[in-house]
Amino acid sequence: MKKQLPNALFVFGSWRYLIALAGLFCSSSVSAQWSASAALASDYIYRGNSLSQSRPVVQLNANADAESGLFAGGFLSKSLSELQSKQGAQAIAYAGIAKRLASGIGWEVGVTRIILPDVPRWNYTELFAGMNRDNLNLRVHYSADYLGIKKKSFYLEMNGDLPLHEQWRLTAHGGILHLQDRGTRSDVRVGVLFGSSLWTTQLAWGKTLHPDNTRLYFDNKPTQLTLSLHRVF
Amino acid sequence: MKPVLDLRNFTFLLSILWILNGLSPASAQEQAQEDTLTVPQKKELHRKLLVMLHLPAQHFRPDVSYAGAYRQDAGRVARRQVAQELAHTMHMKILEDWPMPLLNIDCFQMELIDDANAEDVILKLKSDKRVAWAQVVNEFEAKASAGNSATGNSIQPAQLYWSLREVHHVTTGKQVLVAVIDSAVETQHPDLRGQIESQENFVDGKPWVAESHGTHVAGVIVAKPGNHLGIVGIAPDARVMALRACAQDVDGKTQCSGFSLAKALYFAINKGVKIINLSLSGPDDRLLRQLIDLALSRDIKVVTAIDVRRANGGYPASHPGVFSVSDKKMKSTFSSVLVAPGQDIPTTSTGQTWSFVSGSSYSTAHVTGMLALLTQLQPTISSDQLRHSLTRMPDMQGRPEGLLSLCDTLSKATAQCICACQSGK
Repeated sequence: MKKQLPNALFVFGSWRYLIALAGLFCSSSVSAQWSASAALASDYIYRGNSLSQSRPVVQLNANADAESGLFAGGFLSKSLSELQSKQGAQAIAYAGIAKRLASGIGWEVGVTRIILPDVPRWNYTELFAGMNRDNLNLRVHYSADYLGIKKKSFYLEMNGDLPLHEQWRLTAHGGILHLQDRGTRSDVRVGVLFGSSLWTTQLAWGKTLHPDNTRLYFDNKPTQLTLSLHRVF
Repeated sequence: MKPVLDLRNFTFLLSILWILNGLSPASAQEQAQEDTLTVPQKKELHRKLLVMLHLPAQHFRPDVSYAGAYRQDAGRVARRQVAQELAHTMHMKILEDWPMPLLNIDCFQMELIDDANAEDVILKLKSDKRVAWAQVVNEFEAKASAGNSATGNSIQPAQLYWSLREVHHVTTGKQVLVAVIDSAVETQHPDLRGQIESQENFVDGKPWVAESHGTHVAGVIVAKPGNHLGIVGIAPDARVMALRACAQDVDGKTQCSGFSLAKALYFAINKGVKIINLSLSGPDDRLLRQLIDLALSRDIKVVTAIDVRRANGGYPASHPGVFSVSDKKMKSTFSSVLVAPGQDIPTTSTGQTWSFVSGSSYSTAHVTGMLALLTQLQPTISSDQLRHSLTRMPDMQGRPEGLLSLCDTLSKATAQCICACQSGK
């Protein structure tokens, strides 16, 4: 298989994305807040699948928030599947708008572009919408062409966290993926998180139910235990 | 066949977001562009400033997997860095950071470290697009005067004018959550023990020590009944949160930092209180204005004391929608100000004692208690309905002019005869 290094332009989209994103932020009246992060994870678990064949990965993210509520960013992680090279990667470019009401309830809508640079035929786009309040959020993602297989998909997820004591938190996640003509898969994950605003570490246990229903290119992993270290800049 | 969502459609979707951005309602900061500069009315020496940075709403981020509010932490580091840069440029040091998601701001309290003028610094900050707004930390004071010691058998004006015993057969303010934002309450006072549901300290650098004003105010509202001691609170079964945002200085005066008040107000609003008691007054304050607007939007009743020394009655009494209270009838300019007992009020005091106190602070506490009594009977009553129900007693010698009638107010709000309708006697 031809080895390919991730193409930086593909990672964060083509020039069309960049112009559109730049335009969105230029239309905002104030400068955006930028933040970035880096993480080291023992496994890249994505919606109940291991995207790194249970191998450790480095992940990077950059995010911008405008005062108007617009946000955009890009995420990059190593990924390994049956058809990817050893330099395989997954990138997610995202953009949207999020608002918080006086009641404390927040809402968001947006779009993500999932890009696998060395297998571009798997690239796909999702729309998402969600609501949140305090430490709980609910989000639904829709794609008309999940992983390039011309099937519609819906992914519904709920996430929450509970402060335990000072720097300790309990995190929880539940998700259901429905893939047209393929069935449904659900994944749950609970974790313990420790750290400050700058550094956090998380140990999480996850379980995937009916993984074979929607298995495509990545490893099934019915049960997962992952450790991750996260640094914010 | 090409997928429905290809690159060109992705660009189209981003353009939709662009349009949504333009149509989305302006944020509070954008709407107040004509009022971005908050400058002290007097040329006072303010050393502490509040610098507000925009706090983005929670949203999807792939890097912070699955956690809920934890997602905010990544942005908090970025805002802290911006604040540090601003502090360095303006020769200030950061004292404290207090995110207020309900206002979409992260509030940094900073202190000037050289002789720079606060007005000049605020003007410079105004021109920085990263700053939502900046203001000085205003000072507020309690509206009370010290009194003499009282005995446990002192007659309460509320018993005399408001037929409190009769009213308590019908309502005691049960389960109504009330925030008393004041100086520290002596929670172990014999007449208050078990009556304070919770306490929080928002005064920086000062440990909780029982203080006079807060103890007086709390006693008026929730002093324990039936213990053959002291007094009886107006709403003795209300659930009181004693939120310390003020401190007693060496001269006995109760002073409150605008920042401490803001933190306490935010806490109270977040906890879902029904009534907030603010027996204090000061200058107009943009941050408090936004918080009180937020409280009123959630139909929280805000009760506050008038300050006759200020042309507009002081703040927050001048804020539209609050219940402003005085211990005596006001001139026509303040015709909407409520009058409640506020002279020679026996109440709980520090050192497990009781004393007589006077001032609009205690009139405020009386009205807070009244609203708690009403709220027990009509849990969903709105501020407008409440205001419509307020009834004054006929003027009579020996009784404060324009005094509110508790019995008639409750009767009007509930369409019941609460006290045999004996107002005026």
